[in-house]
Parts: sequence; structure tokens; C-alpha cells
Amino acid sequence: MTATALTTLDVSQTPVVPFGRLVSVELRKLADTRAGRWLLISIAALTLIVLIIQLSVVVSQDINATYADFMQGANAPMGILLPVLGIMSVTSEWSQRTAMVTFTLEPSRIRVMAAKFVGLIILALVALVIGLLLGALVNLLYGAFSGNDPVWGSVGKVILCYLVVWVLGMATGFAFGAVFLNSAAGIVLYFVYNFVLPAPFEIGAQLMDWFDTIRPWIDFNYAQGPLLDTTISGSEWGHLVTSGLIWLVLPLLIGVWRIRRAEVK
Amino acid sequence: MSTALPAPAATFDVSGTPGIPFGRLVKVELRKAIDTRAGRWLVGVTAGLALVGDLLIAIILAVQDEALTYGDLVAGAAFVCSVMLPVLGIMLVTSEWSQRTAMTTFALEPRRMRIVFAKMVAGVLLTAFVIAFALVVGVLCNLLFGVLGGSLDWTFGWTGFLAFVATQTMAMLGGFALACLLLNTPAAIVVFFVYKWVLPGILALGAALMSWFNDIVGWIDFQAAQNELYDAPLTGQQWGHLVVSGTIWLVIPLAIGIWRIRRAEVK
Repeated sequence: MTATALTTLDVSQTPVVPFGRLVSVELRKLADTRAGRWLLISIAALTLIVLIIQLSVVVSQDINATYADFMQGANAPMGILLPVLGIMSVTSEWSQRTAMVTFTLEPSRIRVMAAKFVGLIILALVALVIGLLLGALVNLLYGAFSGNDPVWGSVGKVILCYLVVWVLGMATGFAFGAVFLNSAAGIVLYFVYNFVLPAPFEIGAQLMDWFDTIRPWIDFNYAQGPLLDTTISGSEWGHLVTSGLIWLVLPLLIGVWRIRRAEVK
Repeated sequence: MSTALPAPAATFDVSGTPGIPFGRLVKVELRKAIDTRAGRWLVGVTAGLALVGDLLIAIILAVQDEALTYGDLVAGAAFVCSVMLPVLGIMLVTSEWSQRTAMTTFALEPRRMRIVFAKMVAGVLLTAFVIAFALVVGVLCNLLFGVLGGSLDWTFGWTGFLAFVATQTMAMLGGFALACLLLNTPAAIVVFFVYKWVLPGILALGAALMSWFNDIVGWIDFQAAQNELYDAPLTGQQWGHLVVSGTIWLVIPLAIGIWRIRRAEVK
């Protein structure tokens, strides 16, 4: 008497999903829904609008402007919305309930998270290129309209500083999203950290000398100030690293630990 | 020859059923705001942050030997609450769409305007609760300040209280209006924070650079107009600023938003 062999689906020989494919899937997820596509388009459009307003004000009021000034203008929309993109790339997986599919097709959650992270960094680089090009265009227009020679300053340093700012912004958003796994909570607390927290930090620094001394080492926003001015040097890089450990690396570690264990609903 | 009349189709006659009383709608909306984990945490975090903020102020100022009035503590709590209350106002509206409960809500009460107003009343009631909490926390922290060696000063006054109530309510309604306009949680939160934290700086910068803009900025900047309330009584022009800027930032978004909710597809 022979028992019928149970039909099995043998996937032991199937190769794992290559990391490159995961990254390209995550990139696609960022851009192929209406919400995602419009977020990307509005970031670029807002950057252009802000730069045009800045240009018209600078030219009409006869103010001297440099390439770095225009990049600071471009940072207004980019600096606010890129982190939101980072947050939503993580949290939408949970709020739209796609996590079940994602983690079934690739059960190694760390690989999915790493692919999301790499996708975001690629997007930050694209944003950097767009921002630099728009900034350069506006700087050239400034030269044409104002009659002054456009001031480029140290272009290499401008590129380096804004590369660091936007990659850090994107990564911080990603970390906040991973900690809260909820769009609303992630965005609100990110903005509280970004907009609200500097005020109490400032008051604390004015009231207490010891707090004023340690503030650059723990206030990530404050530490990024010299990057926006493209004047960063020496110990200011140290400020950036230590405060980044608190506001970027720590939430990222907690978030990854949480995602590894979170119930997929 | 007689033909049997077709049996009348069974109908469900609700014409005699009274409409849902408005009070019940408000009660339901209040319950929706706090009986999920997310909602309860939002209210809890708001209250908790106000407490922590006031405690820090009282302890630091006592240690540094600085003066502190009750009004300062209420202002500290107000600062924290004004960050979180609008989020509450936003989520009251948008969660209905993102959590797909709109279908149930509008099936049970098809007059959407009544739901919107019930939500607004619920938001105002929650604001009142948070204000009461902030005032009590202020009392406790001021007493703590006295215990730690500061000299107690209860200066606050009706002007401050009324301004506090008015600005907090408008903060909540501001979030509510943007939420009606956008019907999407992340979008409404992002736009609100930009309006609240980024725009004043840009308006001030523009006013400093261009004199023609400086002349009109008072009529546009709703937050600056609200801050005048703390220095009441207002002059005629300040009332004008408040009304015009309030129309721009509160009434128009709310009107467009309500029009949108009336027509929006319920998914």
C-alpha cells in the first residue's frame, strides 16, 4: 500500500529576490500612486515657485544674492517635504495595508527596509540635482536681470552641504516613520522636532549657560545651520555627528527593531 | 374575471421616525475622537506635553531665580496645546475618509452638514477640556514654583484668559478648516504646520524687504492678528486685521471644504 505523496511547492532552489529589484520596486512605489506622484511633482514645483519669488524680490529690491542664497531658498520646500516623503515611504506600507504583500514576497524585513532606504537616498540625489540646476538657472537669471555678475562662491562646498542636508532630512524622516509606523504621528512629531523644539532649546540656552554649551551637540536642527550657510567647518562637523546620533541613528535603530517585530495587519 | 392585485412590495417606512438629535451626533463624534488608541493618545500626549512643559518652566525658573507669573505658565501650556489641538481638529475630519468610516457615518445621518457641525462642536468641547486642563496644570506648577522658593504671582486676568480661549479655539478650527479642504491627513497636517510655523517667518521677511508688502501684511497674517488679542482692547484697525485675515485663513478654506464634503464621493 502506498500513500499518495503530498504535493509540495519546492522553492528551495529559487534564488532570493535580488536587492536591486527590491530597490527598483520601492522607487516605483514612491511614484506610481496619485498621492506619491503629486507629492514629487509638488516638491519640484514649489521649489521653482519659491525661487522665482526670491528672484523677483532680490532683483526688485536690489539685494546682493549668491548661489548659496538661492540654494537656501530652494531648501525651504525641499527641507520640509523630503522628510515627509521619507516618513510616508515607511508608514504608507502600514496604513495602506500593503505590508502583508510586501513582507510575504520578501520575508526578510530588514532587506525591504534597506531597499526603501536606498530608494530614498537615490531620490534625495535626484532632488539634489534638480535643486542645484534650478538654483543655477535662477542665479544666471539674477545675473541677467540685476546687471551684477552672478556670484557662485565655492560650488563644490554648496553641493556637499546640500547633499548632506537633504540626505539627512530624508533619513530623519525615514527614522521617524519607522518609529511610529503611522503617517499622522510620524509627521506631527517630525514637525514638532523640526519647528517647535528649536524655541524651547533657544530659551533654555539663554537661561542656562551649561545648556548653551551642550546645545550644539544635542540640537540636530541647530547643528545643521552651518550646512545651510555652507560655512560648516571643524568642530561643527562633530556637532552634526553627535546630535545626529540622538535624532537620526537612535530613532532609526528603534524603528528597525520595531519593524522586525511589528504585527503585519 | 378578477385579477389578484399584485402584493405590495414590502416597504420600510421610516417617515415617522424622528431625526437623530444633534446632541447625540455630537456625543458620537466626541466618542470617535477619543475611543481609538490613536485618538486617546493624541489627547493624552497634548495634556502630557502641557504638563511637562509647565513643570520644566517652573523648575528651571525657580532654580535660576527668575520671576514667573501664572500668566506665563498658561502661555507655556498654550504654546504646547496650540501645536496639538489643530491636529485633533484635522484628524476629526480626515480620519473619517482615511479609515473609510464615512460610508457608515453618512448612511446613518445622510445630512452631511449636521455631521460636519457635530464634529466642529466636538472639537470645540475638546478644546475647552484641554484649556481647563492647562489652567489647572498652571495652578499646580505655580504652587510648585512657590514651594521651590519663587515668589508667587497670580497675575493673569480676564484679558489673558479670553485671548487664550479664543486663540486655542481658532487654532483648532484652523486645522479643522484645512482638513475639510484637503480631506487627507498627511496633506492637511503638512499644510497646517507650514502655515503655522513657516509662513510667519516668510511674511515677516517679505515685510522687511518690501514696503508695499509691509502695508498689507497686517491684513494677511492671521497669527499676528490673533496675538493682538492678548493686548486687548483692540483698536478698530486691529479688529479689521483679525476679521480680514481670519476670512482668508479660516472662513474661505472652511467654506470650500464644506462644499467639497457635500459633494465628495464616499468611498
